[in-house]
Amino acid sequence: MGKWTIPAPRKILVVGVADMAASNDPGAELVTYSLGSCLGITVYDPAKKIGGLFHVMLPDSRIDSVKAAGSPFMFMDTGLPRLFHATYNLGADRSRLIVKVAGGAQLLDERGVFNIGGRNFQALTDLIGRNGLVIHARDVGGMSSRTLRFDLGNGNVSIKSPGADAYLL
Amino acid sequence: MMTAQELVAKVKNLPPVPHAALKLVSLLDQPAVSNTEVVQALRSDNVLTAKLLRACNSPFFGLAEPVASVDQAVFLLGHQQILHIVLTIAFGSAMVVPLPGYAVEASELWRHSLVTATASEMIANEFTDLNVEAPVAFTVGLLHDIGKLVLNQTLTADLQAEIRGQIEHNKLDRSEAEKAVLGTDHGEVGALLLQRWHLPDDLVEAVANHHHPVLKPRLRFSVVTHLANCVAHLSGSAPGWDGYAVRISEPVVASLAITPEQIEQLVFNVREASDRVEQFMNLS
Repeated sequence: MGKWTIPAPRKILVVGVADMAASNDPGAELVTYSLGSCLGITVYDPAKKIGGLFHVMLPDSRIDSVKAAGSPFMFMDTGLPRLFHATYNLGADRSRLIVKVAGGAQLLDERGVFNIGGRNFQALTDLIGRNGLVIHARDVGGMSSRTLRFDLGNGNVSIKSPGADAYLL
Repeated sequence: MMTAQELVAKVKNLPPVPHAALKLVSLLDQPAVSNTEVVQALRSDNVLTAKLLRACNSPFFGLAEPVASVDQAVFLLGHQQILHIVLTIAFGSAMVVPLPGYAVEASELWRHSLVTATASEMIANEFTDLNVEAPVAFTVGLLHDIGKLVLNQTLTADLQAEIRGQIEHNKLDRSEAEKAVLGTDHGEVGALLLQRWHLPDDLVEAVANHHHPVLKPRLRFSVVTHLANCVAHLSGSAPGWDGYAVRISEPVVASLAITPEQIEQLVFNVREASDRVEQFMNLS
């Protein structure tokens, strides 16, 4: 490629809090902002360049199962299966899926009553383990919020906190 | 090392707030307020009145007929809504500023304040032992971080680095780190502003102590701001790189016997109210 070649613009899709998106467009980037105690979970099939991103807020929909029915992506137990199925529907192969996770910040809390970040991560590892999958990379905990960018062209997940440089997970 | 007084004296730009709005807030510590008092507090300020009427007539409030006077607005929407709108108008423009000293972008502090105000109302309703009226809870939630506007102006790059070091290496929370480095924190500085505005003592206390709430001899309003701030942080409103450098008060959790499920429910409810928060963002 010559020096003056202008790369095609990336398609950026922002995934809001308590939301999910999946795509098979290798030119797309999925982004989610201000992951605090929330978790950002990415799944990626490198052979087919299919991926999904889920920004989940709370561990367990049983706190309000009626309302949860209207917002399944608020909760890990109702949202995570939908993330996987969205990538299967696009043609992803379960055996190739790479799972990464970031977020789960914690307040300074001795008793852990406010530790939603920790409970979110526990709910994730339970579900992942029960389904015979593994988490390939994680950046969980700490006191900073994070922005997560997920490049569907190569599966790269980059994490950035305010006042710090971005890095690849 | 400085006291809050010395620090405020050094700062040139204190947040400008309409007198009429402060008058309305100062009515909060009266047991019963009449429509006439509310109308009188507002009528002296034409600019605020015009903005208030425009806000009342926005589709959000769904009034069948447009309102043309403050009397009508107070009658149709009630004290609580009027207070919410006036506070939003009065403090919104002052609080939508970037705070480089906190690595907080413009509008983030204001959104956090509105989310905390929303959480604060819910907490007042959930924990009735606290004995805080919903309008007071909303107000203290909205104003709890106003000291950051002042403190931000004194935070040089060196001081910021020092505060950050205290948080990262000594495991202090934001407020403790500010006290260690500066001698005071954004709660005390904010409370001083409220005192200068002659706002009720309970409101001053709620802002001053929101990071170290007072439980004795009785639970004070700072317990509400403390919990509301923590719930707001967990609801996705934790601006700044140290957004989670907030210490939960162990005695508050113990004395109210707060459960993890209660906190998750509150976070869920606050999130469900985020449309309302965005509507208030648009009013200001």
